[in-house]
Amino acid sequence: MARTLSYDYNIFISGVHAGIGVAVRAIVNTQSKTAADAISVSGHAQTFPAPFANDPTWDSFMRSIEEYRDLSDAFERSLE
Amino acid sequence: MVYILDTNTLGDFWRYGENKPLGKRLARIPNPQENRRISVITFEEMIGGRALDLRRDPNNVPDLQPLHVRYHWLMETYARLRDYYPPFPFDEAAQAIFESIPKAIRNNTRVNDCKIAAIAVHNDCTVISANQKDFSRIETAIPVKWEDWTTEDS
Repeated sequence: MARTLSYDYNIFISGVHAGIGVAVRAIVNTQSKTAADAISVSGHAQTFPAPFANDPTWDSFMRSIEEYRDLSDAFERSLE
Repeated sequence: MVYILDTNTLGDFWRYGENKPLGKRLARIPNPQENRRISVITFEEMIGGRALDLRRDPNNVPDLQPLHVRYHWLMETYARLRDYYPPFPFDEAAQAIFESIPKAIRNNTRVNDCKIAAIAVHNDCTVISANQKDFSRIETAIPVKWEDWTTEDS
């Protein structure tokens, strides 16, 4: 009986350890991602990242937004 | 203080980061997840602008980027907008404020700026915009708080 209890206890403890291990790895992974993000931010010449700094479509995109606003204005005025 | 960035303000921030005074101030807003926000109107304009950009005729637009490049930046825009989710909605209360702006003003300003102003009034936020001309007109009709951070003395 004592041996069975000990065996069950050991299995239980192993399971707890495994669970803690998974939880710790999950936390570590999350923190690593956060740390990596922080590094990518601070590594950007100490400035806030400019994700569209190298967007070759930017000027065209800005013109398209203006055109979209023209359409919105025209639609609004057509409602009268 | 909760700030609503208009579309051009967010665009400037995305394009130039902290390389301009505007970006430096925006980056210093404390607790940005709560205090540096956008409205659904900016969602609309960003995605609407990208969608229009996909329909440019390469025969009529010099130096137009290939279609796959434009699609890539559409996806990037969507991904970055998620950082600002949820935007302030244009809900029933905002619509009522918007509709209280006289037609004479709505017809002489960007209608979407009127909507952003209405959202800001309803949520007691301050709009960050460089569009002084339109917001000066809108504030004569509704009590919108707005600031232009593109000038050094703002």
